[in-house]
Amino acid sequence: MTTTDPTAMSPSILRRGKVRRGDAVFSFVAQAAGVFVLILIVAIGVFLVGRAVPAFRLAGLHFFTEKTWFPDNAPPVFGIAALAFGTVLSSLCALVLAVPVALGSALFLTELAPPRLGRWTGYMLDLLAAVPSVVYGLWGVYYLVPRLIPVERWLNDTLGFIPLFDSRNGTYGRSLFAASVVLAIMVLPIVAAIAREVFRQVPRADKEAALALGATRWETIRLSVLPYSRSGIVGAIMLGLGRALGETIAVALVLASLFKVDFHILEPGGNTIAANIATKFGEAGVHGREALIASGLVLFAITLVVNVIARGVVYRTGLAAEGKP
Amino acid sequence: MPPRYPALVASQPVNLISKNKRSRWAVVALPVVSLALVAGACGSDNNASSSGNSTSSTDSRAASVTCASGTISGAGSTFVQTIAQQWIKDYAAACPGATVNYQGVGSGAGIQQFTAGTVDFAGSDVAMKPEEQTAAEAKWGPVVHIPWAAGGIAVEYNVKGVSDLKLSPTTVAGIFAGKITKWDDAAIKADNSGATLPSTGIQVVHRSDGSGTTAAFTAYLTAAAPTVWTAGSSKDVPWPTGQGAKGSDGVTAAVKQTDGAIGYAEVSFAKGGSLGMAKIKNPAGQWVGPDGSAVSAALAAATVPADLKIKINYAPTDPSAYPISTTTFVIVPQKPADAAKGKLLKAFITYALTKGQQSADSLYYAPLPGALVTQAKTAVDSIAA
Amino acid sequence: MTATTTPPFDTSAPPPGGLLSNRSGNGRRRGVVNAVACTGLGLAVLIALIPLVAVLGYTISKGARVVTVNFLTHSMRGVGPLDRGGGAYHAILGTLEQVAIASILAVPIGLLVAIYIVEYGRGPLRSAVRFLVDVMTGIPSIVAGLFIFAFWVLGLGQGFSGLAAGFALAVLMLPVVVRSAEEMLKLVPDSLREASFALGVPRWRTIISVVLPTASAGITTGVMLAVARVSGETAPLLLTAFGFDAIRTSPFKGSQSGLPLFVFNQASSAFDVAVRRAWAGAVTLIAIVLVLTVLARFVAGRNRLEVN
Repeated sequence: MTTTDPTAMSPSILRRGKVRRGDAVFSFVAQAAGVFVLILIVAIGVFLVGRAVPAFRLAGLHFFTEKTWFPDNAPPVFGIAALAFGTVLSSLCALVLAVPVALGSALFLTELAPPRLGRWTGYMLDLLAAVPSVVYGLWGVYYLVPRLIPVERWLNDTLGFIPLFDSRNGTYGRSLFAASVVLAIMVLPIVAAIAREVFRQVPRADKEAALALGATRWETIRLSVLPYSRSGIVGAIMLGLGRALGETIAVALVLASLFKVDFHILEPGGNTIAANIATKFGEAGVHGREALIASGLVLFAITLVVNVIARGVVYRTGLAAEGKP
Repeated sequence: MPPRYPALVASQPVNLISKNKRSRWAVVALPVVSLALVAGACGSDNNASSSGNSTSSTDSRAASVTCASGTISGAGSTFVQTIAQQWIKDYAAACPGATVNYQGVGSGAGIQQFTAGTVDFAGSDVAMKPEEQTAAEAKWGPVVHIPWAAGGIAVEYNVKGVSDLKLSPTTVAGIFAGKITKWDDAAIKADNSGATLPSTGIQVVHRSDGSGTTAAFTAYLTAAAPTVWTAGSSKDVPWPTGQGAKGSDGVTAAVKQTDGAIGYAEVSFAKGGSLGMAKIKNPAGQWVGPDGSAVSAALAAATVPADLKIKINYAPTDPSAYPISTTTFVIVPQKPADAAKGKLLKAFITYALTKGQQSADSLYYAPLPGALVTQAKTAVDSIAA
Repeated sequence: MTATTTPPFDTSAPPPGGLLSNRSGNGRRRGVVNAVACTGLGLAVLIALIPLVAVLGYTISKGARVVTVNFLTHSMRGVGPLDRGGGAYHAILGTLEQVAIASILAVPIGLLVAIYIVEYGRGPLRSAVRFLVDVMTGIPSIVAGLFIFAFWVLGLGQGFSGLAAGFALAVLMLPVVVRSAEEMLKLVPDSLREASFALGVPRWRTIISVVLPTASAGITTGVMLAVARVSGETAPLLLTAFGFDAIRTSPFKGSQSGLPLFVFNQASSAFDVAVRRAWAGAVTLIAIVLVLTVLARFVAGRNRLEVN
């Protein structure tokens, strides 16, 4: 029935020979599974929107400007201004901390370390990604936060003239800064892992050309590795951002919940959309739950956009798109 | 949330032609089998023997407890949470057919859930406001407030090197009003002559949810230092400073995790979290900590109207009284719609008012004064079930 | 060569050849830059490894002593707020059931999707599915929980249950399974498929009896990693399983606990006894997740050796 034609991988084979019933059924089931994924994504959006609409109606435009969260009060007062602000600020701070370390370690492991050492250290870094977020939260609050306080005090003392590092009442601890450090640790292995993949894609010829011209290791990295992988790095960072935006439990444990919009990241307090859902869900009444779903919808939309862009960028590099057409 | 990054998987080398299938499956089967063993092993719900420092009054379990069966659930005050959980545990031990659930969600949320009909009773440290009561009675018919526990609100702190803190009412108010911001402030020094105080910033931790503890605490501040504390008193006040935390649990945890922090919660939380509790200067000029007897002495000054909505006197004249003391209510319908639930409700509250009060001391609450218990029991008996 | 001589051309914007030439006169400076940069990169690796040691070390030092037989075999039923004792048995049981449900749903569907993408898919639908699977890997776990809460718990009025938690975990597991299986299926050489076709074996039989077995090692690794990751998810459980103090054997009716949720609840408490239980739970959770992860690597690592 078949040829050994290289195009045998394409379904055209089904039409060229006689179509077997088994093939038809199996291909249908597989395709249905594929379509199921599309339906699932759409369903997530639809069900969240459906449950969130009453909350949007209740809050109106205040949903985007109100800072506090009292959806079960009469009259209800709630909005995601402080939450969205805290979400974005903590994620960006986390990236600032994590990206240099992640890219540096990825470069070292792919370009400088002996292959065996690089591989094993890579596994170790991947283990960092396997630690559950609740463990990071517990560790963060009992180990990291007390040890960060001297660091925060030092930042305030030396860089306090910048509002970002100014603690106006001299208090530190369960701050957005601490949450950002925990997020950075959680984002690091992801960015590092993708960056390693990206750097591996750099054609050997490019690197050898640089080396042949007498470039040092660092110059090779700077002149052939980094330019070649620029868009892949951007994609990796974006994926890390998506992860940081959605992190829930670690932030919920580390951050002292306070609904505020200011840049004083060393002062305790702040909140994020995801952490707010985790802390408020248990006590939420009917309006409260709808309001939380509405905030979750916003989070879903933000992470969806970030991920779509990130994947788009990564796809363009051809990293994930190689293989069969 | 562990990341779900597929490239980690994708980068794995593969064995295209597996030679050693059996041993590979053995590797996979190992965790599965061991986990199945865990699952199959005899787990137990019975924690009677394992509760190391259990504070239950085991000796008084068997006799004189009226048992009813079924399931009731309540929500509200976290002030009463510790002792309520103890009652639930002890009552369930005495009456195996009964299940009582109580969620410490804060007095405000408790009243809301009760009004919405999602729970059978509410726990609240403050009596319902008239409009709240009207809303609840629209759902349940007449409702009654029954005082069922009393305790002190500890001013709990975590300051390195400070173990015996004393605070006068104006200093407490100044701290929570954000007017005193360093631990070595002159006002604190004046209260603690001789003690060495660090220059750490003061981190105020308050409740972020509607809380009866907040209402009682701010009522005290308003009564004791009206010129310093001007934010009023209610379940949710506009805090001039500090960070919010959810529940007495959350406040205590936040204080515990932050050097230089100060907060307020029912005494059992401060004890459970091994936090220091400030001695407060009472109107008689004595420094008093929130012991059970000091709380009882303070509550003797409260006025009890016929509807049992107790008015706490935050300026008790007794020299042994701890002034930040309060009682907490269970709010129940007078005529529960479900007779079986009503029976259990009645039996459980009666238990709390009688045998249950014996747990008070060991859990750092204060037993209700005898006269109040008698009045409360009459109110319980008025429940039609 | 002397490092201090002025180069014959402007080094601030050198032509590549000029910079790369060791004779350009600034060789020592370049050497120093290279050494500093490479040290910096090495330092980054060390910095990245610090948290791993700190997290695992501190958690184990805090929790290992508290994991007792009693902890592993008892629930939290009837444990007073100030009582020691109590355990995570009910939570471990819940997690096992929830993860099993998630795997039963996500693994077959995920495999089918991967088979669709690699073996059958064509055109824009295939691209859309691939793309959305990738996007799905980035859905925050709390959103997956909210979805099941809105759809199953509220929408269909099913209430909180271990089953709902299993659904939410399945949503998170699905894209991971698809991506790993897809990569593995792609690595199966076409020559194997062609050989099978040449023998007259239908395409679907070829996939089932030639392609899948060949890729089974890699797929197993991927599935184990996926299981390890969802085992540690807390946020979705909060909204779907809700939590429960006693042993609930059936995942189908009524709220249930899960190990990550147990740790979160105990960690949120102020009481020393509860925090101690949180550490014990954290160690148990890490043990489960890391054992699965390391075993998965071991499966993959063995195969590499065999190929060589």
